[in-house]
Amino acid sequence: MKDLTCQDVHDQDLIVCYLTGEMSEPEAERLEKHFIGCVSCAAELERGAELRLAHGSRLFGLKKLSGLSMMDNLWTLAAAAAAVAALAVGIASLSAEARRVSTPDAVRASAGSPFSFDARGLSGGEILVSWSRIDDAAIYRIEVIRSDGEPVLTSETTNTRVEIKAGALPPLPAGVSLLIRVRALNALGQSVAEPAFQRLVAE
Amino acid sequence: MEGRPPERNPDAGVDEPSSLPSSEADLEQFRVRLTLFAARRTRNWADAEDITQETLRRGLEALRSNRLRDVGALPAFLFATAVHVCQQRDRSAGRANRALRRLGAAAEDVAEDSLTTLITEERLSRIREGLEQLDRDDREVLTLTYGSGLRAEDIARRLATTAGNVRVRRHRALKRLNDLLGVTPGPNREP
Repeated sequence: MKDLTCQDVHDQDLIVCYLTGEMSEPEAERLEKHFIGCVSCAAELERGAELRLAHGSRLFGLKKLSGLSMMDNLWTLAAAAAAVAALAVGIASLSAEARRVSTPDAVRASAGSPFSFDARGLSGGEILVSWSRIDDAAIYRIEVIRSDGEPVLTSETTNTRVEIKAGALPPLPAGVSLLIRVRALNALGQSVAEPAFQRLVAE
Repeated sequence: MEGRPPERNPDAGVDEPSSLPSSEADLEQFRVRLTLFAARRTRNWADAEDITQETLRRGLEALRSNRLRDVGALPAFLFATAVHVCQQRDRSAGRANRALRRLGAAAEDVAEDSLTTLITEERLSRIREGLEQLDRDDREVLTLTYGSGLRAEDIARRLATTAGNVRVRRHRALKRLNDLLGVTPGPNREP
């Protein structure tokens, strides 16, 4: 099948059709091949996705975004900001109020190898999370959830520490707190060490 | 620049494209579109973000190990990798569901559940503020296009104009919105 050109994308309104999910799988894949190598059309795709969400419309028929990072990334790219932090450091933010983290004891990983993480509150309200590297892990996933099970933030890094900056977390309802954990994943994305969540306690 | 071969380092002794991306920052430009691709396939934003991260990780690994010697091959490599990672996920999910069924448990439809969390209202409100600052015609064409998901032909019928005119208006409205938001994504291409 012939590769698409920017003119095809425009003349056939392919971006709108793609975002609304009104496109066959072969057509969508053909368009994605174009997007991956075309800065101009990719930028329009990303702005179109933002505009659909801003209008309360679904992307691909999906109900909502699953978390913050997607919109963070959309915005980051659109603003041409340096986005390296997402990969190199891992990003997350916590409410401006200073939080203290209950320092967990070493926990035993599901795969049998000991794996522990440590989370410490800093003076500026930031939280420093660190852990030791383990052999099978290709990446580490930091997860913050609410105590009622609602996911809040997820970030991944190949490093062994992240700093969670004091920032804007949505206010928590009464009786709800935040929990954090670090999971170690192998190259296939499978969990090789999965400690329990630890509670973040507001000072 | 078009058609001009990459400059070579005469002392290097090997062909080494000077513009080959070599860092996380270079790969980051692909993050959003990869996430969109993966979300469309998996129907799940959380999985999409995981797939994107894995794709970028493999891309970085390929760059660092010099497996990609031509900068032009990077987009195709990332696209093929993303598709491959999606397929791996599909197979894993299939195995997990079959295992659950063998145990008599219903496979949980995480796709819908995981889509009920937060949208960054701050981001969306900035876009909405930008829309509010546009004139009525610009706002109308963007709302009909992206909010209602209408194609240019449908909008043209509503506005009693031509599809070509709608496309030009849409392009200009997007540009004005980008200007208001302080960004200029990509080359300025008039349809």
